Amino acid sequence: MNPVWLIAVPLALAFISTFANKISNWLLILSAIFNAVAGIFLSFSSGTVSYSIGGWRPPFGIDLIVTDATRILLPVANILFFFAVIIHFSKKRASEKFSVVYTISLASLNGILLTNDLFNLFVFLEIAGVAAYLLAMTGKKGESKVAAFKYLLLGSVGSLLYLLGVAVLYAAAGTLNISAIATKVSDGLLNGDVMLVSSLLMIAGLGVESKLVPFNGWVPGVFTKSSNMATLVLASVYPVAMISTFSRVILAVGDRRALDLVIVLGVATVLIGEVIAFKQRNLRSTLAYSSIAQSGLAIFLVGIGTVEALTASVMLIINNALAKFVLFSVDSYTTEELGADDLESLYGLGRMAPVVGLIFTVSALSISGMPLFFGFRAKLLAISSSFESLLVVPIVILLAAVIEITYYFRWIFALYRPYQGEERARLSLPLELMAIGVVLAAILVFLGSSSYETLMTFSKAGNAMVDAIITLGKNLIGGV
Amino acid sequence: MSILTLLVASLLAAPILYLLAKFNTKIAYGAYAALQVFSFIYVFFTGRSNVSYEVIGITERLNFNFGITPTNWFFASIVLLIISMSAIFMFPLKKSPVKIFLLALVSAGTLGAVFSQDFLTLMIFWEISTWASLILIIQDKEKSPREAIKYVTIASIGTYSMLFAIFYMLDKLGSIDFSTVATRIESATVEVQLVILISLGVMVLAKMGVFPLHIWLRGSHSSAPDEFSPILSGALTKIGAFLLFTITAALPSFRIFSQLPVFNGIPMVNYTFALLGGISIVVGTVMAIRMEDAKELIAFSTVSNSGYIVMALSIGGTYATAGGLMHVLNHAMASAAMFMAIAAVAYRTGTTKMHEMGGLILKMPVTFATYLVAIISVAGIPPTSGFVSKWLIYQQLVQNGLPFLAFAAFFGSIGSFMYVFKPLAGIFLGQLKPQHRNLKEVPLVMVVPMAILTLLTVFWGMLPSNAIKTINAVTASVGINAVEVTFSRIVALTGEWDSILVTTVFAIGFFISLFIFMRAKKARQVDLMDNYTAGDFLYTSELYHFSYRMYRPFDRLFEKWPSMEDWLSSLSDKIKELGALLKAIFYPANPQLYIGLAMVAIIGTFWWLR
Repeated sequence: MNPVWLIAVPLALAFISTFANKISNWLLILSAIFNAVAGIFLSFSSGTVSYSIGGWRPPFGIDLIVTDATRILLPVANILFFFAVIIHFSKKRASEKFSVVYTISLASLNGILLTNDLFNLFVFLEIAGVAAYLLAMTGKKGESKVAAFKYLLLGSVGSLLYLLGVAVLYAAAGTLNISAIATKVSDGLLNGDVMLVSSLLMIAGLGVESKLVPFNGWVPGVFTKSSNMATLVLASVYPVAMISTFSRVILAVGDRRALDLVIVLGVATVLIGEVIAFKQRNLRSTLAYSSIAQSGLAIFLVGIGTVEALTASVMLIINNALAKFVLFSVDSYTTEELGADDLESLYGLGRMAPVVGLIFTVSALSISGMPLFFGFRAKLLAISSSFESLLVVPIVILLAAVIEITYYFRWIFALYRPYQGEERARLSLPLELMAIGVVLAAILVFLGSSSYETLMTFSKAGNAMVDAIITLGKNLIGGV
Repeated sequence: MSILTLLVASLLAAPILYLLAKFNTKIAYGAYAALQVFSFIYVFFTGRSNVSYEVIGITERLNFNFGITPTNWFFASIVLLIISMSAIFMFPLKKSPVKIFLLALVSAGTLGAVFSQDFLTLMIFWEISTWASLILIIQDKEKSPREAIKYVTIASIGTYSMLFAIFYMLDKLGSIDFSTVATRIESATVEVQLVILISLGVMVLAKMGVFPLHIWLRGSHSSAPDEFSPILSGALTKIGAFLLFTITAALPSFRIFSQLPVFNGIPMVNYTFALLGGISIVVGTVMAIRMEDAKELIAFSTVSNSGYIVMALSIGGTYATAGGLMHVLNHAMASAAMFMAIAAVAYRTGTTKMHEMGGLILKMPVTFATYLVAIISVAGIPPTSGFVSKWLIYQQLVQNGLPFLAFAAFFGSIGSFMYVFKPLAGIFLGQLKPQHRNLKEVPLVMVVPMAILTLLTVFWGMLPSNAIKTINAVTASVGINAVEVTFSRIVALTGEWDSILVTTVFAIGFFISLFIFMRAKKARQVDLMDNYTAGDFLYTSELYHFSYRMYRPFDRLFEKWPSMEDWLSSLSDKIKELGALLKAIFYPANPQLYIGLAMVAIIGTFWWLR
C-alpha cells in the first residue's frame, strides 16, 4: 500500500467537511479509523521503502519514506489518535466545531512522520502547528486563548528558524531531499560552518514542537489550560511525530558538533522538567512538566546517536505516548467528576474507582521506570547508552529519575491512601475509557515483562533511525 | 522443577491471587501462605546440594542469571522463612485483594533477588519488591503516605546508585555477574574500583537503613500494615546484607583496596562503611530509647542492628564475617518475632502506643514469651542466638583493635537493654487496663509462627554450632577461613564459648528462681487506679503510666541533639525552591521572554561550538 493515502485520505475528508459541517464528526471518525487500520497494515512488512510522489524520482521530487522506525511510530500515533477520537465522541455533547482541525492535524502528523523532504516537512509542520494552535485555544476559559497565543508566537518563530535552516542547507547542498543531503554530509561535501548554522537553526526550530528547553515555554500553559481532548492529542500523539522527526532530521543532516548541543539541551530539559514537576500540586501541570522531561530524555539520546541510544529513544517515545494518554485521560475524567485534580481531591480515588487506580498506577510506574513495565526496559537502555557520553550525563539523568519517582509515587499514594473524609459515591468509569485504559496498561505490562526477542522490533527501529535514511540515499539515489 | 519455575510461578501467582481474592479472600490468603511455605521448604531442603545456573535474556547484551550457591541458599532460606511465617501469621488480619496482589509481588521479587547471580538481576527483582512494598505500606494507616514517600526517595537513591554502578561496571569491566566481576575488578584502576564499590555501598546503606540513609525506617516500618512490618524488617532489609556480603566478601574488597590507606588491617573504604555502621548503631539505639510507639521503637532497633551487620561484614575477617552472617539470621528472626508480637497485641487491643496498654502477660502469654525471647536475642543475652553473633563480632573488634567501633558496638548492646525493656514493661508487665480485661490470646494461626521463630531462636542459642557450620560453608565458598566449632563449643581468639554448659547453668538458674517464685507469697494484683495519686482524680491516666516517658532523664540528655531526620524534607524544600526559580527563568509569563531566551541560546551555542 502506498503510504500517501495516510495523508491524502484525512486531508480530502477534511476538505469535504469544510463544506459539510453536519457530517464533519463522522468524517473525522472515518479518517481516524482508516489511518489506524492503514497504520497497522503498514507495520506488517519490514525494511526501508521509498515512495516517490507525482512520478518525480527523488532527489528531484518529493518522496515518502517508510523505515522500520516508521512502522512502529506510525501505527502508535494513529491508534492513539483513534482512541482519543473515541473518547471524545463518547461524550454526549461533543462539539463539531473543531472536527476539521482534528482531521487536518491527523493528516499533517502522518505527513511529518513519512516525508523525506525538508521543505515538505516544513509545510506539514506548519499545518500541524496551525492545527495545534487552534486546538490549544479550545479550553473553556480565556486563559487557554492566552496560552494558545503564546504558542502561536513561539511556534511561528520556531518554524521560521527551521525554514531559515533549510534554506541555508539548500543553498549549500542543492537539494531538499533528506537522504540526498545525508549522503553529501557523510561524504564530507558540505562546509562545516554552514552545516553548524543550519543545524542550530533546525534544532531551535524543531525544538519548539519537541519541547526542548529553552524553546518550550508554551507547553505548561497549553497543556494545563486547553480542553481535555486537545490536551490528549497534543500530549500523546504530537510528541510521537515531533520527537521522532527531530531525531530523524538531526541525525541525517545535522552537524556532528551540534549533537553535543542536543545532549546538553536534552539533559537540561530532563532536569528542569523534573525539578519543576516536583513542585506542582495539581495533576495536570505535573503531567505537563513530566512530558517536558520525558521528551528531554528521548532527545538527549539522539545526541548520543548509537543504535542502542536510538532504540531507547523510540521506546521512550512510545512508552511516554501510551502512558501519558492514560494519565491525561484519567486526569480529565477526575477533573470532570470531582471538579479538581489537586493532590487532596484525589485522596482515596483508587479505592473508590479501582480501575482508574489500576490504570493510573500502571502508567505512572511505567513512566517512572519501574521493573515489570515497559518504561523500565526503555530506561535501562537509556542509562546504558548514556555511558557513551561524559560520566556526568548518566549521573544527572539518574538524579532526575529520583525526583521523578518521588513525585509520581506521591500521586500513587494519594490515590491509594486510606480516605477518611466525607463519603463519596462510588465512581464509575465510562466504558470506552476503561477499555482503552486497560488495553494500554496491558500493553505496557506485556512489553515490560516479555522476553527481549519481542522487543527486537524496537532495536530494528533504532537501527533504522541511525542508518536507514543514509543507506537509502546511497542505494536509491546513488549519490546524485 | 527449578528456581526459574518457582520464580515464574510466584510472579504469576500475583494476578491469580488477586482475582481469587475478589471472590474469596480467605482462599487467596490460604493459597498465598501455602505457596510461601512450599517455596521455603523446597529451597531449604533441595537447594543446598545442587548448584545450578539459569539464564534468560533481557536485552541483547544482558541476561537474567539465576543460580544457587551456598550464599544464595543461606540468604534465601532466611528470607523465605520470614516471609512464609508472616504469610501464615497474617491470616486472621484484615484482608484485601490489593494487599494480597502486592504481597505476592513482594515475595516474588524477593525470591528473584536472593537467587540472582549478577547485579542487574538482583537490582531488577529487588526493585519489583520495593515498588510493591511501597504501595503496600500505605494501605492501612492514614499517616503512612507522608512517611512512605521518604522510603520512595531513599530507595530510588539506592537503586539508581546501583544502576549507575552496574552500567559503569559493564562499561569498564565488561561484565556484571558476581564471579566475573570478582576476578576482573582486581586488575582495574583504583578509581574504577572505588566508584563501583561506593555506589553499590550506597544501595546497601539505603536498603538496610544505615546512617545517613536510615531516615525512612521509622515511618515506613511503623506505619506499614501490621502483617507486613515483619517482612519489611525481617526479610527485605536482609537483601541489603546479601549485596553487602557480595561486595565485601565475594568481590574481595580487602584485597583490592589494600593499596589505599589501611587502619588496623582494614582498608579505608571498608573502615568508612564500618564507621557508618557504628554511627547507625548509636543513632538507632538512642532514638529507639526515646520512642513512645512500639513499632517505631522496633524500627529504630532495626537501624541499630543493620548497623551491626554492616559493621561486621565491612571489617571482614574470620569472626566478623561469620558473626555478621549469624546476625543476619538472628535479627531476621528477632525483628520478625517482635513485629509479630506487636501485631498480635495490636490485633487484640487496636493500638501500638505503649502507655495505652499494660499487664497483657496474663492475657497473652505466648505473645509475651515470643516478645521476651526476641528481645533477649536482640540484646544479645545467652542462651539465645543473638548472643553468639555479637560475641563473634566483638572477637574481631578486639583482634583488630578498633576502639571506636567497639565502643559503638558495646553502646548498642547496653542501650538495647533499655529500649527492649520499655515495650516489655509497658505492654506486658504492670497493671492490666480495665478495657483489656476480656482480652484473649491470639488465634492458633498466629501463635504457631511466633512459636516457631521463638523456638528457632532458642535452638540456635543452645546449639550455635549448628548455624556456624552452615555459615562456615558459606564463607568457605568465598575463601574466608572457618570459625572453629565442635558440637557444643565455638573457639575464638579470646577463648571459647560452650553453649551447652551455659544453657545448663541458665536452666538451673531458671529452675531455682521458679522454685523461689512458687514458694514465695503470692503477689497482690492491684488495679491501675489503685496507686500513688493520693486520692486525686485521674483525668489522663496514661500520663501516669510508668512506661510513658520511661527514660525521661536519658531523653532530656539527647533532646538537644541535632536531628538527622530532617535532611530529606529540607532537601525537598530546596528542590521546590529551585523549581520555582527555574520556572521563573524558563517559563516566564511573557512570550517575548521565551523568544529572547531562544535567541540567546542559539547565538550562545554557535559561539560555543564554532
